[in-house]
Amino acid sequence: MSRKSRWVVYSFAIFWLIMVFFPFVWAFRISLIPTYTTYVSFFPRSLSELSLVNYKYLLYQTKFPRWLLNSLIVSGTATFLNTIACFMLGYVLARKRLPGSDWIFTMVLALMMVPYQITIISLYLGLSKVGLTNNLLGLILPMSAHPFGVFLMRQYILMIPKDYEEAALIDGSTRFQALFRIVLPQTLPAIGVLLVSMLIETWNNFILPLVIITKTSLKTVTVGVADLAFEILNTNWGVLMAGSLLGALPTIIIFVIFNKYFLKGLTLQGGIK
Amino acid sequence: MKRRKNLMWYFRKYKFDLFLALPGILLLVIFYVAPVIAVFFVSFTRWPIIGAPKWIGLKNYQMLMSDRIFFKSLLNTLYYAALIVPSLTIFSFILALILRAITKGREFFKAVFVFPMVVTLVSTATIWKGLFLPFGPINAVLEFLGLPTVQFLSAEHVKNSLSFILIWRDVGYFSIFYLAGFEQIPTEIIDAAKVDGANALQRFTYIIWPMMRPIVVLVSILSTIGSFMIFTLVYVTTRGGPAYSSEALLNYIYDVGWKEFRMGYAAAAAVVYFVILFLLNSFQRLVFSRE
Repeated sequence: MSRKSRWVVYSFAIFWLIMVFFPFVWAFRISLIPTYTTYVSFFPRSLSELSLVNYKYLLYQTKFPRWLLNSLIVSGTATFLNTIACFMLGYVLARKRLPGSDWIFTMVLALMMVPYQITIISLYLGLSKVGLTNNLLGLILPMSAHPFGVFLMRQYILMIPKDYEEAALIDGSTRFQALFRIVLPQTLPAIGVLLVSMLIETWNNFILPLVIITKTSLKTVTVGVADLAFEILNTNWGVLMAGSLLGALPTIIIFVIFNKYFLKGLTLQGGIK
Repeated sequence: MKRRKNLMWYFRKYKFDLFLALPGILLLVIFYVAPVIAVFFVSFTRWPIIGAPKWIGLKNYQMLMSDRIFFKSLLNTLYYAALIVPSLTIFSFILALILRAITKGREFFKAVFVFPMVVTLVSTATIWKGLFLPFGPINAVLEFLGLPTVQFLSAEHVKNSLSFILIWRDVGYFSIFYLAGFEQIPTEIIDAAKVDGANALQRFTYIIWPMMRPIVVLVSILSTIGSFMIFTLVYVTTRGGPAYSSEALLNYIYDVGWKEFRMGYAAAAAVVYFVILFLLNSFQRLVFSRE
């Protein structure tokens, strides 16, 4: 590549980098303004112009910490349950251990094409019949079912040779030991992909917690921030920006540490279909 | 008697595998398959949350036909899709070309471009609402450049502004799909074409485009689904306003179901939503897989 075209490529990449980060940097700046206004100059003239008062308000005057905790519980538990269920089902489907395995896999593929939003109405009606609305369990269970996870696990386990498990079985280990001591460690890269993608997806889910939870103390952080956006909209942008950033912080941290797994998941999705 | 014995035999043979498969299958059936099927049944009833559902046949669908706000939100949704899908399909392709040309620090830029997708849409929407304020930073920049300021969230511009946010957010995400496709094209083929004297345009039309077509289909289908799910963005920034000018189909379904408590009617709208999305996706597959 010539020097000139390289220069064009990199300058465009840096332009988009600025486009990506500008909104968040701006939000951070606004969150440090002590009083309501968006008319301050972007670059503070001195450090004394900055203040953490909005963050203090958020943490002490609103239910924000409780929402964070709820999101953590829901997201963590759902991801954990989902990963175990997907690993076990994916294994059975990959090894065709049950009659009709391919039929089940076809169902999984079909589900991946269904937009899950249309399930919201019947999910809500069903969950309210069994008393799981306004209950974190009513969020965790539906989020634990995810066809992409089954698909990912099945495809990955297909690539692992059967020989190791069979050797272990001949050496006298139980099926359970063969699965969790031999197959599981070899599946870890795919499990990493699934864990990271699911944590981010469950944390960011909005429509499900919005309809299932109406009690303020049980809300997740996404719904909580959306509520703030409407309640204190015209009174305090600083608090709102602080909430937006803090609410997104956990997934950002996960992404910064584990972005390789997340990108791997995307590449797999793009490459396989 | 014999059949029962057979069942027991099956059970014993597959005991462990059933134990492994059941949690996943039950979760998928109860929380995915059943709700999808159930929504069709609910759409034939009048169901005011409290109280029993009443079978009313096709009445909900008849009412939808003469519901002006429903049609407004349907048209808005198609407008969003018409703006978002081609933009995402094209711009993420360009972004992927740029990523492909980057040799040093490609992984870094990949992570940067995907970043907006990781931030919860509620936060993104809130922040952009601030950026779009009448006296907000974007208008300040426009003014600084001597350009006229824009009322981004007015009835006239709101759909374009919200579409822009979604495009800004997803373009990097989809560029990774394309990049994965590029990496599957063997470099030998391109090198051979270069040796044979094919110029950049010829290499693109005869090698890259045909090999990329499946991914173009995937991206256009996924971005259609994505544009139909613009719900969160609309809910946080405008709640469908001003005067339903930004209301998307999913927002209308939410309003009918959870503000007016007409679950049967909302279900009928959801079925229409599903059918339209399904038809669009089938059409996309058809168009691109021809030739």
